[in-house]
Amino acid sequence: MLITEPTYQVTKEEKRFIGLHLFFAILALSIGSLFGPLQAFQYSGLDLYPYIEPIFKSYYQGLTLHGVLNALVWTTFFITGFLTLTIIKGLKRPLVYPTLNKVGFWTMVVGLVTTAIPLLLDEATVLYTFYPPLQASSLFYVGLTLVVVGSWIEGYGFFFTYRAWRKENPGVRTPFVSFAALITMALWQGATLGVAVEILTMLLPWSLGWIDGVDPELARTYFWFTGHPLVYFWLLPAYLSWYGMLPKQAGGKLFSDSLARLAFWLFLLLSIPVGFHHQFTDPGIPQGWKYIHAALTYGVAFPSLLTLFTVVASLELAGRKRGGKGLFGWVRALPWGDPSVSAQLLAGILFIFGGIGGITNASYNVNLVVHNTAWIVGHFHLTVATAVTLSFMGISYWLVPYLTGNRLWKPKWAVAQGWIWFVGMIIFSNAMHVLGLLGAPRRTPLGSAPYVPEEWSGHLFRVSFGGAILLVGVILYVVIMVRTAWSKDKLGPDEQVEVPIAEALHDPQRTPAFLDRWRPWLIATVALILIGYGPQLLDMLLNIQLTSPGF
Amino acid sequence: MADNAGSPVEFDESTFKPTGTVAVVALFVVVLALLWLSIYLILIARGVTT
Repeated sequence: MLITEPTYQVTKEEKRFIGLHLFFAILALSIGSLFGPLQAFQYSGLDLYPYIEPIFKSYYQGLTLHGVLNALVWTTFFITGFLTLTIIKGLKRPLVYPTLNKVGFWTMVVGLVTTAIPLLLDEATVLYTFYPPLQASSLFYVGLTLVVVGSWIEGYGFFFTYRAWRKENPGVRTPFVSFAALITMALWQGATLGVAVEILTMLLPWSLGWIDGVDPELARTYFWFTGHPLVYFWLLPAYLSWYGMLPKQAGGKLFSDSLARLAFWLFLLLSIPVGFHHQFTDPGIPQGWKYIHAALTYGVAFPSLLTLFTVVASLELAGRKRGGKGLFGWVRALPWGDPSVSAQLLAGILFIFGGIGGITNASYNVNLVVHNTAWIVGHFHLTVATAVTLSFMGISYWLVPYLTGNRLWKPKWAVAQGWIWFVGMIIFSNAMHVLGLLGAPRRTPLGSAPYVPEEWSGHLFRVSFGGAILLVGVILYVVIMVRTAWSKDKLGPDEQVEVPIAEALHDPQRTPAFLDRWRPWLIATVALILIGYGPQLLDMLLNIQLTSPGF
Repeated sequence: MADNAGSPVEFDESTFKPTGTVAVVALFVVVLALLWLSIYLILIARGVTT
């Protein structure tokens, strides 16, 4: 029988297992990030693709590799590894079925390799959204399915572990970091049903020649059932750190355990039935449903605002405890010299603008100004490539020393790395937003486009310049990680890194019990999905047109 | 990874009022409204489609 220990020390084997997740995550990031600058340089006419043509065939193959490796692989592997730690450390117990989690992890690795083969052979140049009628090799769809199924299996391991913990701890509030990890995984399990159905019922049989055509509108609807909450699957682990770890690192406490839990429940409740706001220009979706999804998207703004308030209040408390005075003096008093803290603070600052842009995207009418333009690329580089990626980089700066027992290589360089990413992203993302407002399309090699007006040229150059700075930032990150992981500079017995779990300002046992009960929130989530998607999906299925051939 | 930017001081957590946070959130809402309005004006300036 497994017993909950008052202080659980993560074993070497568990650390190695988590570290393997990070290895594959950083490997994917280091390869995927090399293609980002190629796109960015192309914008100002510096097309490097002809020089690598024997290996990589086109701008679009590079764009696909960039999107799949960075947005899907780096995130999913990092998140499953990080959540494994927060489950174990928060619940203060080992995984109840560690073999199950290992099976899940290696299924993800097999899926990654299976996906990589057609990607590298230019047989899956379908971008990360893989919209049909663009058709990939069946291996691409099989591989993606295995990555998702593997992550589901790891999630089941978390749920079984929670169930065991709950039996041993009736009436006790779930420790926040584990609670947040469980909601993130529940959100992922629900959200990925969309792409699972899309791949298994349409794309895979189509790519194998079992059916002649697909219904692109239905496929897009399935994709965005997953696609929008996918953003929250990326974001919630960063929020977990901002709420549950960053206050401790900064010297403070979580300002409100209740508000933090409420925000996570609301993200679970609201982030799935909003996908039609990605399909505002799709003619096959009735306007009424688009309005409903627009309204629900505004609903997601509420937990986002709660997050802004609670995280900033926790940091203000930390800053004031460190001697910060005045309305904003506490900001300066925060430990900006700690690379993990500064990277996450910078990620949060830029994410404020990502949130503001998101409201524009969500507005049915105003969205028409920016839909399918470079604005969208600028927006998600503030969300997934900054709020998420820069936060994960910041987390790595304590996590890798914790897992390996090695001293972080060149901490000052790590601080500089966060700032380099921050500055590069300001230049890159601002230029992309402006280009979008000027009408520049996304997913287009603008350096070769004959219609580019002179007015765009300065902004196109800024995209390239920002991309170059980001390339320096990611190379520096990978070098720091590699030099830390394979370092011989061991931390002394008194220097061991601990997992920074923030204490709440008020006893979590005083948090209302309904914020720690799964049943009502899960029922409400399923009900809202059925209301938000049910009738329209049913209509689309009753009128399905499997007529579109692939190309 | 110690940092010397701020040193711990005596601080009574029970009296903590997040005034700076309220100012940050207010600033956020104002910037959000202004930027959203600017995009809305671009939409209006482009005129109707027929």
